Amino acid sequence: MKVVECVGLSKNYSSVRAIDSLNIQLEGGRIIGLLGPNGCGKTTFMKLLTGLLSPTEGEIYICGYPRCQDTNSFISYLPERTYLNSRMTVGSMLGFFTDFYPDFDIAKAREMLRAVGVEESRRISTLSKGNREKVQLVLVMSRRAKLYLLDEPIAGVDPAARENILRTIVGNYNENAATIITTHLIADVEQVIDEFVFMAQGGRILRRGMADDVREETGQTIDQLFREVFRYA
Amino acid sequence: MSWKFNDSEPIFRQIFNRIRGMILRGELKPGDAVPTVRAIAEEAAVNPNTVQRALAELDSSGIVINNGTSGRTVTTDIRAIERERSAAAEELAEHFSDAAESIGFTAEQLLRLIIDKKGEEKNEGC
Repeated sequence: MKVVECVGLSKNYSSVRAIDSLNIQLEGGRIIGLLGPNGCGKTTFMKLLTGLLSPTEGEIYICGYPRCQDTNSFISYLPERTYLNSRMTVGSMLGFFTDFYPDFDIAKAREMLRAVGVEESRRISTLSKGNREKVQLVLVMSRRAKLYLLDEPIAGVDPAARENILRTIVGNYNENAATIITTHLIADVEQVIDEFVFMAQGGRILRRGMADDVREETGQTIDQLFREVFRYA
Repeated sequence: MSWKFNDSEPIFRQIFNRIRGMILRGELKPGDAVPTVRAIAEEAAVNPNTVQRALAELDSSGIVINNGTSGRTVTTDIRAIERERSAAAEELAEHFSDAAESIGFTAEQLLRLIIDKKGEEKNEGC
C-alpha cells in the first residue's frame, strides 16, 4: 500500500524554494532512509507530511487520504529537537502518551524501555542525551501508526546507544507501516534500511533504490554511492 | 551485539552464508528449528526484509524447509546438506584461485604453501 504520495509538492520560505515540485510515492512494509546534505529539505518534507508546515503548492496523500488533521492519527513523528518535559518522569510521560494517543501501546513501551535499560522512575532532566533520545524513540515507536517519521534519531548519541536505537526500530517492524529515517550517519543505518532516497537541494530526488541491490550490482555501500552521487551535485 | 558485515557483499548474502555455515558445521542440526525472521533481525539489527530474503534463499537451496506458519527447520535430508557443502566448497575454491592470482601465484603454489605449513605445525607439535 502507498503510505505516502506527494504530487507537485512545493514549499517556499519567503523567497527560498525549500521544496520544488516533489513527486514521490513511498510503500508500506519498508524502512526507508531519506538521505541528503544539510538543508536539502528533509526536515521540511517531514513537517509537510505532519501538517506542521503547509505546502505552497501540491498535494499530499497519507494512506490514500488527502492530508488533514485526521491523517495525523496515522503518523508517529520523532522531531529532531526534544519535546519531552524535563520535569516529568519517564513513567509520567507514558501516562501522558496514553492519554494523548489512542493507539499508544503502553505494554510495548514498557518492554522497550526495559530493553534499552531506562527506568520509569527517572526524571527526564536527569537522563543523559543518549537515554533521552531512547525514551523519545520508545514513545514514538510504541504507537501503532502507519507512518513513522524519524528525523535524525541517532544524531549525537554514542555508538552503543545508536545500536540500541536501531535495534528498537528493527524490532518494531510492521509490514503495513512505512518508517522514514533521515540521517547523515549513513554507514550506521545501512543494514537497517531496505530502501534509500537521495535528496538534493530543493527536495530533488537524485536517486532511489533498494539498499542490497546497490551492493549486488555495484559492490558499493550506500555510503560510498552517496559520496559519489553528491560529489558533483 | 549486532552482527558485523563487510562492505562489499549484499547483506542478505552475508546472512545466508552465516546461517548456511551453522548448518554445514552442525551447529544447527537436521530437524532443528531455524531462528525466525524477527529473532534474527533483532539480534543482528538488520532490516527484516533483508533477513527474509536470506531465509528464502536458504529455502530454495534445499537445506531449510519452510513449514509456513510453524516456522522453518533444517532439512533431515542429509544428501541435500552434502550437496550444499559441495556447492559452498566450490565457491570457496574459486575465491581461493582469485586470491592466489591477485598476488601472482597459481592456486597450486598457494595450496603447496598451506600444505607445507600444516606439516610444519604438526612436526612442532611432536
